[in-house]
Amino acid sequence: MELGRRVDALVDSVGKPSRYIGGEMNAAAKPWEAAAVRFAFCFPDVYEVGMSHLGMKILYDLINAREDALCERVFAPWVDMADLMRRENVPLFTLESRRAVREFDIVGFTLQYELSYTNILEMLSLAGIPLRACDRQEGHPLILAGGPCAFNPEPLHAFIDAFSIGDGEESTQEILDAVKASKAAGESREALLMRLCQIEGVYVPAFYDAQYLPDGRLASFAPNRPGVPEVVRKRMVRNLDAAPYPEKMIVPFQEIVHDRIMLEVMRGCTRGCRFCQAGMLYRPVRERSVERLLSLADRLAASTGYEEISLSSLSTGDYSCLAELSRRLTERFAQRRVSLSLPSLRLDGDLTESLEQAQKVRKSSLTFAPEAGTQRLRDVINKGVRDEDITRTARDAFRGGWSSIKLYTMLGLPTETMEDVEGIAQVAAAVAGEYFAIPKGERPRGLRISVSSSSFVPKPFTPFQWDAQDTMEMLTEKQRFLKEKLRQVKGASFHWHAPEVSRLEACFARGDRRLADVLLEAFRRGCRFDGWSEHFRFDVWQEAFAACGLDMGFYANRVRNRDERLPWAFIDAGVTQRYLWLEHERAMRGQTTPDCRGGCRGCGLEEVCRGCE
Amino acid sequence: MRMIVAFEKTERVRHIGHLDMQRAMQRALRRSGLPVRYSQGFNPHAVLSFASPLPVGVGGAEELMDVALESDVGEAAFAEALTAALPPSLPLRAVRAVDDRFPALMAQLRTAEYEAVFLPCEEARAMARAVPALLGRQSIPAVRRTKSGEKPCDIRPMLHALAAGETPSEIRFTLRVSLTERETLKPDLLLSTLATQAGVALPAYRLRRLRLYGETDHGPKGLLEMCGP
Repeated sequence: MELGRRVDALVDSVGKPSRYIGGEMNAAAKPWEAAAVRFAFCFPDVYEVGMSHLGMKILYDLINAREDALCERVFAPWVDMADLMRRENVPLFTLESRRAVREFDIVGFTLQYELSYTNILEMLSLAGIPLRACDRQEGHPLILAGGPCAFNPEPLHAFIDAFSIGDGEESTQEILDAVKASKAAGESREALLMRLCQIEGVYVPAFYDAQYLPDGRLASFAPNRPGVPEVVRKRMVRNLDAAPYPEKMIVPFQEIVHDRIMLEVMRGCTRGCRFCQAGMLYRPVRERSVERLLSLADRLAASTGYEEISLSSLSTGDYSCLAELSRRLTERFAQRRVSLSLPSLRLDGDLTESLEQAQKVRKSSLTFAPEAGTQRLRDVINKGVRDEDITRTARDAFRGGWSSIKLYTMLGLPTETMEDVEGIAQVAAAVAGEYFAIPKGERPRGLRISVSSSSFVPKPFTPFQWDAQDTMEMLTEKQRFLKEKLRQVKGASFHWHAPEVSRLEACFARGDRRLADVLLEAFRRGCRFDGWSEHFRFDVWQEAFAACGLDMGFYANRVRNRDERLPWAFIDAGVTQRYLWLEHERAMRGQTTPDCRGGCRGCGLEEVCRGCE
Repeated sequence: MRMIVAFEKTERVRHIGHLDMQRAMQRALRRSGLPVRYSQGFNPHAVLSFASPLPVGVGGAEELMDVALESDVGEAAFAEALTAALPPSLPLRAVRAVDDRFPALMAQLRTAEYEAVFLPCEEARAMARAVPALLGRQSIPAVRRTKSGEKPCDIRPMLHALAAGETPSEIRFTLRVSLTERETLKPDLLLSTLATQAGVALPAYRLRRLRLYGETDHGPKGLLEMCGP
């Protein structure tokens, strides 16, 4: 194929050419002509980031399993490649068949991170597809988007034809069916969109109008034609055991971020940490059975040749059969030289067994996420970790031979004071204390406590969706203060996130339709790969906001009232707004809400939870 | 026993580096379910060695690797299992079962044959015309770039064959050069020397390794053929 040869000529002169070559084990090679629906799965970041994403593996496998469909992958070309493609007039292409993305029926983006939004525009632009949905014509692909950030789709409303909200396993099938039927019937774009918005979980932004008050708040939001649902309900897979899961996964040549077999043991989390959007979006908890996981592990180990299996979920420590699963996986795979890694260890669970299992594999550093430095603030965010949990776990880890501990924390949480910030340093000091309490000959050498602090970003569908983010000045001051305090803790180092990045993330996380103009403006001024510090240009973003007459503070630093109409309120995410507000009030009172496995808290998913039993 | 495996590194995946290639083959062997011998230690690896690493950007028509086995496997069964475990971009070409005492491939390797493909252009044509003159020289002084700096050397003893041919779509040079631990002539150095001989600047070209050679009493012989019939 002609484009294939032109692409091949380009990869000789770019950095990391293996990002663009494809040809990996288990990559699909389906004949183009035989497929009635062709799906280009676009990840708006580079290959090695996107290839680690589980959602893509699931959907890629599920679409390619259909006889009437094919799915190929596309990643954001790094800037050197993108510039070269523009110069040489090479359009955005898929890795498998090196076909132009604009030849596909569906171009689907996954939205994992707000700071990858400019890359979506970059990819559309490289593909030669009009950026704005309203400028697209018959014959252009359908531009689809899903993933966690689709729960506030509004900043992207102008660029995406249809959003798929919630679990994609079922809705993707229905979308493919609809596109296939519409194509066969020779329907118009508009008729296809009308079909799509009848699918539960699909949001077609062109069919809704939003109006704003003079002060910038949303005044109204409603369908602009009959036959369009007023509320878009998220999709959820009821039975994870019955849901499709890949039995083979692509094995990249180059090392990727998560270069191992990923076994999704469950979806959802019952903890109810109030800052955590994923914890709310993916409710209720649905587990896979040990038998199903063992069978998947067998097939995946055979089809990939990977030497490591990781158990993946929001909180693997909470998987009800973790001990049994770890034991049986270890038994089964020891002979086959496949090791097991357990990420997301929690501080408050019974860790000893997990630690022992992990120890069999290797002694890398252990990561804990106390999130906040004081009990008071941990109660506000409902992070059920106590100081003694942290010190006990640190003690176990040091005794078990680990010497390196990472502590993940957040700055700028609602109600946070300097006392709370100092508390983080005190936690690190207590961890160091545990280390030095062990006699010199008995403890591992080379204590390393690495404290990293991100800046809190309030997210939709969390109890803090009404709260203000700290200003950059406040965040910078807190970082400076904590850095100073940590200097006095032996063995501790401090890493922090740039507050500018968190501020922009906060704007887009809770943004409205007007941010689409800002996004386009920033893209036109050259922004792309904003999630990569070497390309993040905050000054350009500030100019883009100013050019559109919008204020970052309005989105990031403003407290919303209970009665304000939130831009994402038309989405039913399962957890009710009433429950979120209740949780917000409990947070402000410093009241915790126990894990709902111990009793229902009435978050809105009672019916589904019961249906699962 | 050991199995000598010949595979192709296709043009599409020519940019895979040697470390990534080693990892890809390790995983392919794991997928194959073959009784591969594993190293001892914390991170056991299949006992596997390549005749000669290929640089990033260079494909190979017949690359050789040496796989140690725990138990005997027939060539046909081995080939079948490994073929199924390799991606289409790294197809299996041949296998040869050898004895544990068979000398290492790297120790037997003497020369390698490459092809360098140029788009039709005056510079490449001039280079093609300069081939006989270059081959006719008793010594060819050149400057070799090494880690420790630039070193003057005579590349003539390391140049074993050089030929050029033109088709409507390309100009192709086939060259066989020394490839041992002590003496290695990189194709790029040979081609740039040829360009100098022709009085032109070296244009861009695509390099591919065709075959690895050992040496017998009767002259050079394909390394794969030396492993068995």
